[in-house]
Amino acid sequence: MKKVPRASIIILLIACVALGAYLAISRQPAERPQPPPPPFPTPSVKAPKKVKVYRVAVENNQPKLRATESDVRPGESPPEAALRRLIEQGDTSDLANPIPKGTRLLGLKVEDGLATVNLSREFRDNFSGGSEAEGLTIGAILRTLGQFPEVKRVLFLIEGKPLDTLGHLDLEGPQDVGWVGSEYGDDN
Amino acid sequence: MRHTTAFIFLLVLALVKPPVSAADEVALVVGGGKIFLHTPPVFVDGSVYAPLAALDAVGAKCETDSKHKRDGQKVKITSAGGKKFSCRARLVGDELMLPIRDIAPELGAVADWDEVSRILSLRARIESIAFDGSELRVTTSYPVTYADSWWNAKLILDLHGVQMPARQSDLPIENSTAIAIRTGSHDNGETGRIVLDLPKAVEHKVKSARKTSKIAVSISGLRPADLAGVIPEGRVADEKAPPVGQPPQAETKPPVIELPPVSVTDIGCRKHGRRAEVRVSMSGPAKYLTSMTRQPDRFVVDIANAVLAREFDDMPVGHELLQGIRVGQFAEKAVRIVMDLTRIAAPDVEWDEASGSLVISLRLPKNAGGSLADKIVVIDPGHGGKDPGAGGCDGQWQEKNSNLAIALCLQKALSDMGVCALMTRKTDVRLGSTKTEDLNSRAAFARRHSADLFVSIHGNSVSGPRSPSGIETYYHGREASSMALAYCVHSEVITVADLPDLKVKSDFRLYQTGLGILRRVVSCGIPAMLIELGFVKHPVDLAKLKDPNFQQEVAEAVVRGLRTYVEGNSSSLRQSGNPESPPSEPITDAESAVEPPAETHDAPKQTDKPATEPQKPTSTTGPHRPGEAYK
Repeated sequence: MKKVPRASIIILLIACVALGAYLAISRQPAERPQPPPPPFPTPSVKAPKKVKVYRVAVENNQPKLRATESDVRPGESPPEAALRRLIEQGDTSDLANPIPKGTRLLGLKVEDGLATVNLSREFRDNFSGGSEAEGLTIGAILRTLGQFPEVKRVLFLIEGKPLDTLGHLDLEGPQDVGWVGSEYGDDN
Repeated sequence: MRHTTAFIFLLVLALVKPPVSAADEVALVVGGGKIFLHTPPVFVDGSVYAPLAALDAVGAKCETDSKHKRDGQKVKITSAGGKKFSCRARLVGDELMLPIRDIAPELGAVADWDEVSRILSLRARIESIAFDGSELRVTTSYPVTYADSWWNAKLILDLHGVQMPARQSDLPIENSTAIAIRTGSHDNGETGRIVLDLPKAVEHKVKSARKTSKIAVSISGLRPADLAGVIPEGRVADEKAPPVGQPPQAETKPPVIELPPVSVTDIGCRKHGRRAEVRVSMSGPAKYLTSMTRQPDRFVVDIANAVLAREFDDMPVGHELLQGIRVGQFAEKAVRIVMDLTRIAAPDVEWDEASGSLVISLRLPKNAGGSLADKIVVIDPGHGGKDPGAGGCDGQWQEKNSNLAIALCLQKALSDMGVCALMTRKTDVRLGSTKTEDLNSRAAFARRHSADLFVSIHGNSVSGPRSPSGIETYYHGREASSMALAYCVHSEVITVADLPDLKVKSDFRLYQTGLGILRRVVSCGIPAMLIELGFVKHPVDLAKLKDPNFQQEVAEAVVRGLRTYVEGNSSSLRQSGNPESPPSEPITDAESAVEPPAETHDAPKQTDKPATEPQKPTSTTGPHRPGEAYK
């Protein structure tokens, strides 16, 4: 038996693979069934729901609350998503996060128009601002939750206990989201 | 040898570039107002140098190596109009500065240097004015703010910080109608004014952003005959032409449904002993905005969406508080009622449904009258102890420090006058184990000592890297005496502070229940105010708050304000009793004339007349300080 050089075998093998691959690629379109014209958008490509998150902008030497858009992640209710994004987002050059650093959302319950927001102690302890800052911190949460028709009032809790004040404003009891600080309004 | 060379080189450098001192600092005015920069502009070698941040104000952008700053470094600049050029920066301290006056033409700005006041003013150029009967379009060389208003069927557009050429023929105006367009300027040339002489009052709507280089105002309701300059007889007033021209750009807000204007039918005044009552009869309730001015003392009510049913003559009253009343249609659909006061009064404004009138009651503010020396004043330095208040932008200063320092100056100044001045805290302590307890004990202190007046001293802050700057004063809700107190003190402080005037405000604008401390003290029947003496997160404000001279000057200004509240204007100029001719304003230090105009888009605006219009007293009501939001 005549010995076949190893190099020839390799070349042959490569050629076979190349031919096979070529055939596979060239025949593929013909084999693929024609996609039917899409009658309706398919449910699987549902657009991610957007929520508004209010943050602080200083324009013309005046602080304002400005709405930004954020996504709802899987498993989140829209109010929870909005509040989480508000707490998580970092400052940009134009927009500041008015929530004190280190604040964590421990719980959010929406029932009979009342949103009970349970925040970690950092929300109170790390707040170091003036009265305007406090108005903006509280205003941002009220506005962010106030975009949902199911939220009419907000009750602030710090690790389960009622929050009284951050230093300037009386925050005990449910706070009305309908109030729009004329100082901070972006739509008035 | 190398050392010697280096030494000679440094010596030459030192000789060529003498160090820049604070005395070389100058002010930069853009957009009609002084702009605040972390590093102030300086005047060196016959040129004005401003930090790179100043480019923002004229809508320009720059590129440079900010890590390795060196003198003569090249900065690539793109103007708002897209013009690219480069310029060599000068290193002043560790800040790169640009010869802003020299590059003004490239930036699209007209520079105006005033050697005496040492103010460099940059104004935008008008690129074009066009009117086609349905839309007035104005383009400027960089984005500017502006205000629109009406005066006797004239549309007035005031462009802040815009240069108007001396001759109108120098302006590129495209007008395809017979309607006259006039231009002029006021505010010492800082504001450019465009007036459209329309044949009748029509609807107009601002379609552009509040700050833009492409201003567009749509005008509807003009018929071809109007545009041709013919005024037909028997015109139907409510006829509306279909909107012409482009649809509003990116209209995201729902259209505003406009209610028909209410009509002001009658105005009367009654004297009830020491109280004066002004009744404004109207066809229905309307929103209104109140404000006060000092020197001359006036209380102003602007009624929105209202028209005068007839002409009203000026009404002299001659009451001990109220000299007279003036009424005018100061915008197309806004009525202004000006009450000329003999001294600051406490105004209560209420809608009386039964009589269909707005009732303005003016009385002597609570605990006013007599001498300040006979009063008990409680001074409340905010925060203290383990509650530091807002943290300064230097990472060290705490709001509680300046609050206490200024309060101590104030106590000393008042005590020297013989006033019983008491402090809620004299040292660095918190007045309770919680913040609520702290607020309660401050209010309890004022009640326990039967305080006549309560003054809370605070510093302000806003989260984020960009801090506002300025002074604002709060009173609680609509409490009339506290409002008068806030205006008295604020107007004095703002004359000495040299910081932006963020006005007197109701604390309801800050939060729905107001400020905790003011709510508590006012509920004890004590007139109270809280002054925010600058933003600790702003370097200019913080430097002032730390400065003992500033602390002392502010304290003395507060004393003057308290004295005016109690004693009236006995020490200052009394205004003449003739409201027909508004007297010239007493000159104060505050008249630096470079402060940006107060402007709210949704509120009736203070409008000066077009430069060529005959004077009307109602339009010259002095500085307009928006006090409360519409109720």
